[in-house]
Amino acid sequence: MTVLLIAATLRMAVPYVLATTGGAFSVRVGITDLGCEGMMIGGAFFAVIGSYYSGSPWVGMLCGILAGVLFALLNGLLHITFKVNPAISGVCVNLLSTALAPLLLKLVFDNESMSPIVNNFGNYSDSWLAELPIVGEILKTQNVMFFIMLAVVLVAWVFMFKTKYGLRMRMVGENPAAASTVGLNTTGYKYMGEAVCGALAGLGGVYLSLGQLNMFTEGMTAGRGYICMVINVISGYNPLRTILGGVFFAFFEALRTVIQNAEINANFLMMIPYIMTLLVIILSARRSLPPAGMGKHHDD
Amino acid sequence: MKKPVLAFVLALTVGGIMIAVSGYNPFWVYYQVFALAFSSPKNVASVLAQATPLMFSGIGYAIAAKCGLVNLGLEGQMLSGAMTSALLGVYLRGLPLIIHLPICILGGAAAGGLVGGLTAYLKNRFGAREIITTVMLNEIIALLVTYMCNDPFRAKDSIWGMTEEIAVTARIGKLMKNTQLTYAIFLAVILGIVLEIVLKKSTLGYKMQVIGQNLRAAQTAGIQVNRVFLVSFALSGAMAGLCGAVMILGVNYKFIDGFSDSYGWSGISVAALAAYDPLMSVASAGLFGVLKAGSMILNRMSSVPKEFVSVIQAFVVVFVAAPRMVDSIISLNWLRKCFRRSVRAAGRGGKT
Repeated sequence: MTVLLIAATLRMAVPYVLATTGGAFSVRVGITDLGCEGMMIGGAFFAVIGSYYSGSPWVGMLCGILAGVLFALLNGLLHITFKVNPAISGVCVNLLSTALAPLLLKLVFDNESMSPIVNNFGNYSDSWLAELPIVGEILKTQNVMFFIMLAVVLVAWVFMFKTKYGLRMRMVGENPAAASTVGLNTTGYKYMGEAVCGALAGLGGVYLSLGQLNMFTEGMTAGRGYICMVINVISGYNPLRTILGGVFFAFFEALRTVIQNAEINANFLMMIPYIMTLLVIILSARRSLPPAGMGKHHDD
Repeated sequence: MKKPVLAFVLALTVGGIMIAVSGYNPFWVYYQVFALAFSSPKNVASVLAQATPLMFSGIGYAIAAKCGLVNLGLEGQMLSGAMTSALLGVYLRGLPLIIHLPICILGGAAAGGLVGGLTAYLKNRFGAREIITTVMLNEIIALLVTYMCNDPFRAKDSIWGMTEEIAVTARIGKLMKNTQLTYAIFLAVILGIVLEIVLKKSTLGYKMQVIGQNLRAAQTAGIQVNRVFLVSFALSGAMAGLCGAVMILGVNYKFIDGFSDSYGWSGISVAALAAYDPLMSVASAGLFGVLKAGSMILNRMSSVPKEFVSVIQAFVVVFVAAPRMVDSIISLNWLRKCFRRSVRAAGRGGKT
């Protein structure tokens, strides 16, 4: 039971952690990560398309990442180039991608709500990892994207806090005018942060359709992109800490699937993390602030 | 007023390109959508019925947007209004229509207004950004109403989560038989006019506009920004609550789990096209109603998917939100640039 719960929690944490890490890049360059939801939907859908036509989940993953980046670039185009309010540009991305997925579902697969079954990333139940003592039980239900997630988080953290480019990126987010004065290409950094956000949120979407399932169903992201925005606030836009936030939300989601015979109502159970996070946000709102240059441009 | 029209035309153009790529004739599709929407009184009624909830949520978003607030919580506020009016309609019994119906409608508005007010309170008191809190409240309310209509208030013998039917005395009358068009549409139009007057002619409206245009200046001028935020967010939430209430009291007669066709979220598109003006939101909701109803009728007659409409709706927001983008598309500067570049390249003998 406990092992089952831990394994399920880690499985469900993967999309949260991936998309939240992406969101951290977006916020660190000063752009609200509201569009994550749309990028996740795009990633989930186009991953299925890629896998459907090629038969390989890896091609699917690539398509999902590209779709995420495209939606992110739309967000970038609207907010960075055309100076749209970042909340509105995020809403644009979400509206567009929630509208596009069912339409393409209808056009490509001639189905109202789900795609056919495609090749996905298999889990490790047959590999040597399952034989390992203690962790084997947990690892055997994971798939390759679990390790990709760990690598992504580590690389993201090192890049963000240990390299000069990460420092410059954060400077653009804190004070774009100053960053521009010392000769940084703020527009370039903003687009880069946004593109990384799209790639990782797309990857989170890929996990939903090709890691957890083997198809796309309408509404499968179920607001996870919005949750990622929230996790980002409580984890202080730090990739390493997103793991904690992701696991926190994933735990309650896992609990719901593990506890089948409901002594506690599942909907109530799912409310707990939201209410707790809302309290955390309310109480720490004045302390855990986003970068000072949120939504600002170097030339305004 | 030129900009939104331009944006709408551009959105239709992009939608048309997509329709063409999917193998349909866009001109035929658009002609059919608009022609079918007005082909019979019944179809006109269905246009107006589709537009009614959008009017409420559109006005709701506009009211908050006027003073610079982004109300992403319309969906949750709408659900809380819908659930409240459904419960009032089911469990209050023995009242005459003239008392029961207003109670249900006001209950829905109050529930939505409370949720909206709570958001503003959290913003004022704790500095919690409304983008985050509204999204959280959306999720919490969605889970809560799902629980309510599945567990304590579930109708007997029902497999799907839904409440009992509301009393006959809590129903909004139909304007036309066998359609979904109810008297609620008059409420929407009246509220649109009232809020327009409030915004343009009252001190409160003036304060809201000042805050929306320049928060710093408003603070310096001594406007109590927090209070205006509270009123405007509560009004916005109340409109969303009404949107849910009229769907329950006029159309569904019970709260069904997952009944919402993104009525709350659509308010953003509606208000954006109306340049965040309450009265224009009514008109823009009508336009979306034409698209929605027309495409539904067309979908019944042919294989053209009705999902095109939401894509067009999304593009409307994109183009309305980015006037500079529309300008640069229209002015064809990018084309000129490309042309000049290629001429220059040709001048250098094709070497770049």
